[in-house]
Amino acid sequence: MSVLVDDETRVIVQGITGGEGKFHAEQMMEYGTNVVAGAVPGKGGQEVSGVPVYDTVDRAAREEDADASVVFVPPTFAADAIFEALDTSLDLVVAITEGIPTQDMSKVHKRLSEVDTRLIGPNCPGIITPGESKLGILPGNIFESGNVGLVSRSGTLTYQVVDNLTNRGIGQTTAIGIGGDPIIGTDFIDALELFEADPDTKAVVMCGEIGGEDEEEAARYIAENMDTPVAGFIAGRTAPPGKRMGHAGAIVSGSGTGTAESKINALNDAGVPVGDTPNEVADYIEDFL
Amino acid sequence: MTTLDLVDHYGGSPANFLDIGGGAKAERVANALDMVFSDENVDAVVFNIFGGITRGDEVAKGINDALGQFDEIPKPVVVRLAGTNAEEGREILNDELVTVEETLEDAVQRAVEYADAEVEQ
Repeated sequence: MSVLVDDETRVIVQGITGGEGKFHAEQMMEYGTNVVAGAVPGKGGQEVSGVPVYDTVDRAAREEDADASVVFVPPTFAADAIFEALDTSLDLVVAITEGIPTQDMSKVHKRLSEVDTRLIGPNCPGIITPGESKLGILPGNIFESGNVGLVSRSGTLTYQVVDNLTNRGIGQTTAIGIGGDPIIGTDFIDALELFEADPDTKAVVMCGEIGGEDEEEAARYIAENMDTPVAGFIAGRTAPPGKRMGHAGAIVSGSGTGTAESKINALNDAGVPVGDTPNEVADYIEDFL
Repeated sequence: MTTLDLVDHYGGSPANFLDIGGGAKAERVANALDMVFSDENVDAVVFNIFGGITRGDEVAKGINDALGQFDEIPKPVVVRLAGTNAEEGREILNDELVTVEETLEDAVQRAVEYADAEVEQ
């Protein structure tokens, strides 16, 4: 079992004719993902690595019976690409693009509340159900099928923790990179809900970072709603206030909100142990299982 | 950012944080290394790459390019490559110029040791 994606998921790659789109479409197919179409305006009729390209997501979805898409479209056009996927009523859209203007994302965010399509990202590594399917840029070889769910704001941190888990023989049900931007689709609570409902997920790793209050809200959700044990990691303990740390959303504001300390305390109060190092998170998970 | 936290955790002190960004190519990596070397507070450099969209071979080429222009490497460099094309990257890296470590923890600890040694000199 897994959440959101499996070996049945049929995927459109939006931006498949670009360098990153093509490279990662190939990587996804090599991993086993059913990449059934590409969608790029003006490039309909072409073929990329054996995958038929359509002018629109709508056409691609109808012709190839697709239910999900991955967006590798440059920031300026990425919001339009997401809107196109939402209007096609796909089940899932995964936006990898970094640097989508916040104003564009606020429009996307409003539209999301009116549709059934789920968005993951943007500025995220995507989602993977090990051994079945990956939608995004996650390095598939480090993952292993198992019973730990993982949700993270940082791609690299996801890989780091997964590597620590896999090296101990602890596999994953699904790993979701929710992205490092201030406005995102699926958030911690959405992902935690999915893992709580998945009978095969026996423990969950939640990797947060400085900025915003999503981790604090997730901590409250865990305390009130979850039976599945959760272990956490929070990046940015040593981050200076007022500096944006790599991600657009990773900033301790001048007024002092969004600190690592506040998030760690909230998680600890909710009974969630927080590792000092990624490897310590794997220690906690090993204890849970 | 986690790398910085670990530098602190293992008794070091971060002088400079530079995120090379997703999908960095060799030229961007070489520029990044030049900038970090130009910071006189820096006693050692740790490169931690766990590539998804970033490819290990591109990073390795950038590191080699940047270091190749020096007769003597200004500060010790520790590199940890994992993820997409990491193996290819490790093969490309010139281990006469850099110290290659397998895990994040080892790389950070090694860099902190080097930095302490530089300070003592």
